[in-house]
Amino acid sequence: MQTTENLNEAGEVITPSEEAENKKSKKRKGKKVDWQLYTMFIPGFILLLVFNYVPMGGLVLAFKDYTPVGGIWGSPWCINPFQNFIDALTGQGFWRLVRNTVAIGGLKLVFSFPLPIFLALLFNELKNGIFKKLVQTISYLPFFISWVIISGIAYMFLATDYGYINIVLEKMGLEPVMWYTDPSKWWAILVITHIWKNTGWGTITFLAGLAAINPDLYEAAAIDGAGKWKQTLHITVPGLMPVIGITFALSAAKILQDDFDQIYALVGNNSELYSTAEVLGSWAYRVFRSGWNGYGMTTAVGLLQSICGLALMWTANIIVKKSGNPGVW
Amino acid sequence: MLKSKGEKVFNVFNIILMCLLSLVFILPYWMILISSLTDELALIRNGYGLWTNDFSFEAYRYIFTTNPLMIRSILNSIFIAVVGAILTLVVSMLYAYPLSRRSTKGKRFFSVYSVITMLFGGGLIPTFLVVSTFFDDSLLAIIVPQAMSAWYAILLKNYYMSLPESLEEAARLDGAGHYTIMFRIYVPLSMPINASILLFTAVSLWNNYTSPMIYLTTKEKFPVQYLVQQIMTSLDSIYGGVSTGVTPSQSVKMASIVVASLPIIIVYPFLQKYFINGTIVGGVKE
Repeated sequence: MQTTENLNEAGEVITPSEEAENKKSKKRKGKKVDWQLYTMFIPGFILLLVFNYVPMGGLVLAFKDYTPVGGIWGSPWCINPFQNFIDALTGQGFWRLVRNTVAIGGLKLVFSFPLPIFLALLFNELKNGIFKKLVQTISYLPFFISWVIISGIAYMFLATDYGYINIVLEKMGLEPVMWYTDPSKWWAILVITHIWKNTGWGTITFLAGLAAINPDLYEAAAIDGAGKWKQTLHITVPGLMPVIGITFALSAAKILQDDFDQIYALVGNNSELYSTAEVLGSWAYRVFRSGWNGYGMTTAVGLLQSICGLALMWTANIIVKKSGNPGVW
Repeated sequence: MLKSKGEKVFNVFNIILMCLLSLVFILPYWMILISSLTDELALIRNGYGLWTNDFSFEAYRYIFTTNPLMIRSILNSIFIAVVGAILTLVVSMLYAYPLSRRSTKGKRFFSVYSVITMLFGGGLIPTFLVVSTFFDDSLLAIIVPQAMSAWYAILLKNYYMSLPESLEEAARLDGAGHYTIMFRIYVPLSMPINASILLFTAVSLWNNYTSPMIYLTTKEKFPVQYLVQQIMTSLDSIYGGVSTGVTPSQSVKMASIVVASLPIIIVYPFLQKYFINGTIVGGVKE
């Protein structure tokens, strides 16, 4: 709103003078300034070229036998072009990594996707403006907290000797749980910390969707005698369906993108938890750290992961478009 | 209008639920703060908790005086967040402006060229090999490669397009070049979205510990999140051998968590509207 006012002001100040007399020079200037427009692309263009497109070209490493002397471009090609892929896919524990990646992604989707929708509906029912604002502000905060901080919070609850959960268990006369050495607990821990961090912020999309529903519909329904519950069921939910559909398709498409930030902060180099909590991303990082021998192999796995992710995203976009909504591209 | 009994019950239930939920989000911070202020021996005796009777500032004294790494790391983080946010905004702005002009030819090429980078990338190792040839063990490795954001360029482009075109025409009649028009007219008019982009970038750079982990080797260059990550996983690598006394390890961990998150927790409530504003303008992010 404010901006339009400023605009008019600025517009009025500049427009009235010298319009006719400048017509000629305007044409000339129009040509002169055009190349100036393209110079604006330069910094962004170069950064994308060097730090995005050159590394994409570097994916050729997936088919190469990497040596530090040769680098990306000078290293020799593998004799069997798919040697790196074969090494990775037949490597010990590879399918366990795939299982963990898909399972953690899938569990996050199933358990954390519906929560922001419910929370947005509940926020929407709060009548007191200040209270509503306060609760929203508090619930958004974890989104801005890094995974390192959250791993510290998790440690405070889960630490074997001093952790809050074990202290409470002890007070209740129960056996303490060795959280950091028991892999069977970690899918749940990763899903719960993900929910804690993202649920509040996730409501924003749905709150925007709720605000877009025509309030006349509710009035008409109220006159027809529909109660709050019926209104929610027959107006709110259908009105929110497009947003839910798009968000779900996009989240589902990301099932293969492991959250390295989260998993490395919480699990780190704790090899006792690898059997359930090591995913493709953290494996790649571990191989990367252990020396250049595995560069080709991890690049091959990264390439496969990216291609699958892209295919999923493509499919999601088609589904969204088919359902009559504007797609992502 | 009269409310039905069911509605009243629901409202009360809703308010109670929201209060509980707020506690779930707030209590962990509270407990971290209390633990960081608890005497180490009491912490070992009683474990982490909601309250303590043995307050002590020893952990804070320890992390700030044992060695200069904590202060250095905070300065590094401030540098990364401030310089990185400004650079990202300027580069993305410059890319967005010509995309929003009607007279630019080849807009489709430039927008596809940037959008592709949102969907596909080189992955860990090729990116590492390229970035580390330019910036070896340098803070710039964290700032520069992320500076051009296709997503922010799209947001800015849409914003510029929503402003009336007469603005540009009028300024051009007065002989202003594109740079003048952009920085004098369009940038001041898009302050709300500029603020959102600056804040989002600054927060994500402040919170980033993986890039420092990949690119930095000198301890003096670590930003605070990575230093805290090191303190959490291997306290000795940071403090070992330096002190003669025993490290108050449990409270030090908690105190460094507080130090690394405090700036965001303090600043966030005041700048909240800009964060939300940015997401609403952009529609669905992620």
